Amino acid sequence: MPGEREILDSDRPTKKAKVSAAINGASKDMDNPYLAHMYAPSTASSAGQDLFAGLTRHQTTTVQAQKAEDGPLNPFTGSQLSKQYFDILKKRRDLPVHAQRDEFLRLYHENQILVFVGETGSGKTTQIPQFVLYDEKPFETGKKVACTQPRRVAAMSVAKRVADEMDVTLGDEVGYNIRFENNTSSKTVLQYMTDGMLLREAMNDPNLSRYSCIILDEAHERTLATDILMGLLKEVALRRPDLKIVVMSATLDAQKFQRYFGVKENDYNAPLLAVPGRTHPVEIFYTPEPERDYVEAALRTVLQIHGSEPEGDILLFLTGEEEIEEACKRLRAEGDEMQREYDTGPLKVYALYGTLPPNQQQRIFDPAPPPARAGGKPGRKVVVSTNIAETSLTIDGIVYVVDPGFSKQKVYNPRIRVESLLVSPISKASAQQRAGRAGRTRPGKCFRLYTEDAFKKELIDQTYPEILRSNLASTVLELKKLGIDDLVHFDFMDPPAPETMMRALEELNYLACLDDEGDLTTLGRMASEYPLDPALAVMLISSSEFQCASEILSITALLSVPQVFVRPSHKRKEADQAKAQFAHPDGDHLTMLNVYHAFKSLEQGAGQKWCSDNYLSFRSLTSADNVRNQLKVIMEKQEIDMKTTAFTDRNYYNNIRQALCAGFFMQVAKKMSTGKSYKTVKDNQDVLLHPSTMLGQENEWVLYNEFVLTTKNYIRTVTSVKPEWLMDIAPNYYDIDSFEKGEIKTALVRTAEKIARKAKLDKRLQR
Amino acid sequence: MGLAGPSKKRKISHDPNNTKWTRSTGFGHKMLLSQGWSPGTILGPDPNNPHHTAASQVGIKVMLKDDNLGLGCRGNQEDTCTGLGDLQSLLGRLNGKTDDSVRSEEDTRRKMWIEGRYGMRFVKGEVLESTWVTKELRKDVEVDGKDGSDEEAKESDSEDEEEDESESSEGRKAKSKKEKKRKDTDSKKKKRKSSDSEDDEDADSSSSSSSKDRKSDKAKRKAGKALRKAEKQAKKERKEAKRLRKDEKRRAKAEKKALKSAIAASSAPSSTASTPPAMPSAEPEPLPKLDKKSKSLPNSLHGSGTSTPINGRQALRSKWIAQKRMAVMDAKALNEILMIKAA
Repeated sequence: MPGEREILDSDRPTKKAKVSAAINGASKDMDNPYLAHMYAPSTASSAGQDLFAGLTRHQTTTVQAQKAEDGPLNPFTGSQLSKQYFDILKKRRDLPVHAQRDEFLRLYHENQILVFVGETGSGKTTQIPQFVLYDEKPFETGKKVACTQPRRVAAMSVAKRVADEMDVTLGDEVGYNIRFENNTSSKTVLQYMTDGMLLREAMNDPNLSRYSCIILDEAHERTLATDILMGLLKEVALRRPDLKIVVMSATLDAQKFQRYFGVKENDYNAPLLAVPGRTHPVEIFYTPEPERDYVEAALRTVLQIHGSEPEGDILLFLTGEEEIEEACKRLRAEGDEMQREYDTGPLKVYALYGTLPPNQQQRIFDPAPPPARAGGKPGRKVVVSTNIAETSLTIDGIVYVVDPGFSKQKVYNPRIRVESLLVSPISKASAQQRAGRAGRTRPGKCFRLYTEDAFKKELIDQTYPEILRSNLASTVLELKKLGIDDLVHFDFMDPPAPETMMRALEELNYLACLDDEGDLTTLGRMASEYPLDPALAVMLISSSEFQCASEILSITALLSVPQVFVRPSHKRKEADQAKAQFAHPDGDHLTMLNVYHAFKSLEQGAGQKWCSDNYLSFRSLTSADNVRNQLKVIMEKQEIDMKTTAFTDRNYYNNIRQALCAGFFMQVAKKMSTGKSYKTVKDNQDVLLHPSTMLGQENEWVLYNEFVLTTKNYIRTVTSVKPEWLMDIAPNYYDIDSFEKGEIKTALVRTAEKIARKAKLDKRLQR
Repeated sequence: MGLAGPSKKRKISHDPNNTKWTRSTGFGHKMLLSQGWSPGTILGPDPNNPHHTAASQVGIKVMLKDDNLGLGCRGNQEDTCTGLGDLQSLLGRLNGKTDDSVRSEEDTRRKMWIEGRYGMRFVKGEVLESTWVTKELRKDVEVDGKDGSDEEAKESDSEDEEEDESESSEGRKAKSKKEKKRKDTDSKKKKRKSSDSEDDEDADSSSSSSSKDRKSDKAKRKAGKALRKAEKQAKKERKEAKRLRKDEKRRAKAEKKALKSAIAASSAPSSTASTPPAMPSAEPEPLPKLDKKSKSLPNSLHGSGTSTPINGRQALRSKWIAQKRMAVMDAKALNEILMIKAA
């Protein structure tokens, strides 16, 4: 699914993005963060060096570090430390990790790679990088400490917190670097960043020479980028003995990490330091028998808790936006009724999912409502969340957790090339993590809506890492760019299935990103610069051939953000009518383009109202606008011709449709002679046009953006194309000999004949 | 869903798994081969890593879920009978359980459930102390606290333990074997003793082969006598036991009946309102108890005289025979049957 990564990422609340210095100021080396290490850290204060004077790098002790921390001068800036600093310092010294600082330092000194297992609440994300910082003496080496985070929000918020803890300005000594937003400077010694960002940096600097220590945080989440980074760092560690690596994880699979990072000297068991967090016991309850309807059961459980359990907030895990909104609606209604009828406390219900606007996401941290009247029963807060509340977001005050045992998980089927989010049972580790959420503030209870037997037998031990559930086309492109050619022997912590790898290679070969020897082509190199799916990147790069770069850029941006059309369940008809205004007869891509053009032609500040009037997502459109700007910068850097066809030109839309073919020729379906169904080219899957499409049923060949896996297979966001274009643009893929006998082959043969006839005619006319 | 449920029509493609592509050897296949991969193996330098999962070989298979069925719920359970759990107390009383025991059972059940207005019932499970510190990891922490990371020591520890365990279990086996052997040898010894004594006698007149033959015959006869004697003894004992068991039997019968209904109820998963079979809490649940009884069931059958398991009609017949025999053996029962007033 093209743009999946993008969507996942923009799921996370973003601030208005600034153009990163890396992209913007490429001409000025001094500003280029990739080259910053080549210049002396001139801004490092001499005072800082003095305060570190007694310390020898990689020989410091806790006592020394504490002395430096105690001030009165800030060892990093040389200025007087504030009162706030000492207040925080007191709290920091209470954190569980602090008790094991000596232990950590000793292991850190002795080993190049260290596995650190710390439970949530142990303070590892904020403290360990600082422990490292005091030991690394960054002013002496001129090298930074990096700490990666799987999520953008986490990188930002943790950097802010640590900047406060160290009494420095965010962006100076402590900064963060996430995609589309670089908040670091030449002064920066500790940098929080997304794992994807570090991976991008590795493409330009294979030895990661700007860093003296790299901390991979939340490694247990096993994102694609973290997995590749781990494989990469293992290799870098051999080339750079001075580089220290700390892998921080929060769950049970520590032994897997130990084995993976182990070397021969330690008998394939990397040193491990484990620090328990500060949690309270959680009583677990199971249902005596399986539930017929887990949503129903979940709602009843929440209400029952509200009615009968003492004070404390509730966290309910459900699978997706629609389900969550529906549940919230019902809980609110029932909660009000309970308050009226049974005089319970007020019930406040909040939804939490990735695509929720940040200001609404923030509301989940509001305290529980007060009693409705003086002396009445206390109020209660219910948060209905997807699995983001499982590890990444901590909500204090949660005492009860309701866990139906499902979550939406990404799965990729390489055989039919479909990547989709499906509701599936969670893992045991996930279930424990969810239960653990109830014990953050005081002893809690977790209600599992399945039997203990089901917990033992139906759930897998660990959640599968992302690398086993994704289309690897962009990953392979990244690896090739990183100079890793031998994909068979690359040290993945969990090697992807060979079929998935084959599909990725095949796709890249058809897209001409890899040549027949498997080497990166110029196109492939260019495509790897974009934070996009290869198909989208190739489409973008080749759009200039069709004189529609600007339009394709808009479409790419629109495909990379969450759905722009909003369709509330109670106003479906109105929403569909509003959508029809923008409809383009040739397809949904063009409909989306119409929306974008209309959006851009609005006056300043009118967008929000216009969007809600027309059932469009203002947030998606602004973020598309933002993504578009970022992509444009890369295109300009690559000197791609942005000249476009005039709108009045007869071929304006045809050009766009042809450019779409250049990237998506592998996602085409042809209508079958009988019935409404279509068949995907080459993969021969029966599909239907998604009901949301604006395209009529009569189009014979359609190109689609997304294959939706439900009981019926749908293709969504479709645009009609012509077989002539396909055969012209992707002759390798549409090589008639490679097709097996059938309707599609017959149609292609006929098209080939037509083309030949036309060529002959043209020749005759010319003569 | 029955007839009233929404019908789900679904067209399945000719080749939904796209095996055509799987069989083909395209660019990707060639590339992997050229880099030293061979079909059927997994990628990566360490294919034997025990931490790798099957997903690295064949990918992840998921079931498409398009309903709201809870985890572990199989859907069509209309054909199983439910609600028998609620009848437990009644059945128990009918089957002669004392009110006290019924009440205590109810109490434990009530303790297990947090039953509320909204009809959600829960069974108490374990207490989660921490989200990640398993026993093993705890050990790690301790070990690490002392000297960095002696994972190996730990591992070998656990291995030792395992070995110990296996040893002990093996030892147990060996023991039981030994015991068996001892028994065997004992009985052999006995035999030999008798034959030994015979031998002693033999020793005087071992010269003549004929007498030896005769004597050995005698010995045989003697041994036979001894055996018969032993058999008689055993029979007597058995009779005694039978008589003793008779009283039990009556009680057992009532219990058996209860048990049967309980087993029927427990075999229907949706009707295990009483409790799931695997329950960690120490409270005496009805089912485990029943389990014990179910184990004792075949024993009681054995006790009724049929030593080999017999199936079907024959089993029933032999049971009747056994019952009759037992009744005849018991004077009191016989009196009752023959309507003789006890003196």
